[in-house]
Parts: sequence; C-alpha cells; structure tokens
Amino acid sequence: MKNHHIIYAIFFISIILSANQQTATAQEKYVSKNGHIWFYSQTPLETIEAHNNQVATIINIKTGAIAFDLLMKSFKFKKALMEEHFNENYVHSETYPKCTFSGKIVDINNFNLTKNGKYKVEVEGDLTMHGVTKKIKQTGTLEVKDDKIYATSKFDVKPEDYNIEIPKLVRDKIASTIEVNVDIVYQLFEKR
Amino acid sequence: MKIKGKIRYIIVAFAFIVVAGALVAYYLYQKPVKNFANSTADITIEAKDLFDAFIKNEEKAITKFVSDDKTIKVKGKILEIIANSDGTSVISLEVGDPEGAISCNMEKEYSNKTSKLKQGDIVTIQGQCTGYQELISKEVIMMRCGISD
Repeated sequence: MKNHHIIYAIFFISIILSANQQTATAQEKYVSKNGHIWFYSQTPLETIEAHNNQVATIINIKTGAIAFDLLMKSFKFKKALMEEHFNENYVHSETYPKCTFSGKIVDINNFNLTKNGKYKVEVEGDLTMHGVTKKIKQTGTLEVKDDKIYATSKFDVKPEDYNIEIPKLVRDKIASTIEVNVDIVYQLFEKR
Repeated sequence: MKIKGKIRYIIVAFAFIVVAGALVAYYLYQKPVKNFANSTADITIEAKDLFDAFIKNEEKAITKFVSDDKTIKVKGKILEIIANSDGTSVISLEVGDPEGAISCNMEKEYSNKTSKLKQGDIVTIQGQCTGYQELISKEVIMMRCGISD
C-alpha cells in the first residue's frame, strides 16, 4: 500500500513539474507574424523605398535566440517597374523566394528581458538571401513594455555581398549600400 | 526644294518618334503597381486547396500562383484578424491544418469592410500571392488584398 502511495506521489509531482516546465518555455518565446521591414536606396537621382509587413520572427528572451523569415516578393514598391526589376533582375525572387536570419543576442545574460525597460543589444548571426549566407553583427533596441517587446534596428546591406548585381545602366540610380529598417512588435507566443 | 522638303519631313518624323518614345518610357516608369484587389481574377481557388498546393510542391505552386503578377481569388473561413500598426489588418483563413493558414494583408481602402468581419465568417479575398513561409506556423502569404463581392 505504502509503495503505491509513493508511486502516485512521484507520478503527480512529475506531472506538476513537467507542466511548470512547459509554461516556462512558452513564456520565453515571443513572436510576430506581421513584422515590418523596409529599405531605402538613396541617390541624388532616385529614392527607392519598399516595405514588407509580413515578416515572421521569433525571439527567445532567455537564450537570446532570434530568427527572421520573410518573402522577397512581399516587398511592396510604389512603381511597378521598380518592383519588377527588384524581383526579376536583382534578387531573382522566384529562384530565391526567402530571406532568413538566424542568430542570437550577444551576452544575453547581461539583460533581463522579463523586466520593463529599454535595452540596446547587439545581434549576430547568419543572414541569407539570393542564395548567399553572410555572418552579420548589428545593433538594435528592444523595449519591453507590458508583455510586449518593441524591437527596432537600422543597418546597411551591400547588395554585392549577396551576389546581387546592379546593371551599369541603372547604377547611378541605386545606392551601393541599402539602408534596412526593422520595426517589430513581439507578443508572447500562444499555441492555438 | 524637293530635298529640303524631304529633310523637313524626316526631321519632323524623327522628332515625333523621340517624343513618343519619351512618353512611353515615362509612362512605363511612372506606372503604379497592378491593383490586385480590384482586377479580374486569374485563378479562383478554395483556401485549403491553395495551402495544399504549397505544402505538396512549393516550387510548382510558386510558378502557378506567384509568377506573372496573377490575381488570386481565395475563398475561406476566417480564423483570426490581426491588426497592423498602420491601421490595416491581416485576415487569416482556415486551411484544414491547425498549424496552417492563408494570411491576407488587406489594403487600406478595405479597412471599413474588414472591420465588419469576424472570426468564422466565410469570405472571398483577392490579391497577390507572394509565397509560403513557416517560421512560426505554416503560412501562404497574400498581399495587396481586397474583399471580393
């Protein structure tokens, strides 16, 4: 009889522990499916701007792991010709439909992202687009406010680093470094 | 006299071609992006079938639904409506897989119509299909969408 009690007790304790563990991991993950990333190319001749507000992204506030996934085709331009050139001639979005980033926040242990506040962080990892993967390290800001994380960042990307060739004819109209802006509102991940 | 007339004729014709060419170039350059929300649909499909096509063969689905600026009209049941920070919203449609959805980015002009919709409603949405992504859940993305009557 006694043995049975102990087995039951162990059984229940383990269930409670595993349930706790699950909530713990769920509360570490913050996600957004409609993150906003946009870029500018500025030259005296032409300003080009494109927006993508369907960026999927996950951040783990405990491990500092961070990942982005976006479709090149989801970048919206004002002018049809620019969008066509971007997709067909520069990034070849049918062959390379995605742009991904996978990395981590540097020295995550120095930040307590469960506490409200503004944190300046460095993120490093692999940026993949146009079939080319490059290690990058950029700075950004994370603002934790009432169970939401507002992430912003601004950095430059060189098309030639990703084997994206800009033809001579339009080289004066497209900047050699493209300014990329990131604006994400992360929410606690809930599985439906 | 005759030669002079001919030359004048050639100059006028040449000037005309140059002006016309410039106009065409300017028109092409300024042309806005296709109005996907309000154009004739090239493909009409159920949400589930569109999703399945991407799961089965992404490359083929891209050729069929993403290439050549096709307008895709998709019918389905609303799973959820997420608000964007700029006042627009994303309507996701059920696809039969609990981890999947068609995510439709609605155009600003349709904010009024979109605000009247709720979870469970059956809608027909048309727009531009831009592909498939699966970081958080399995999503087929539709951009520049409008409600089709």
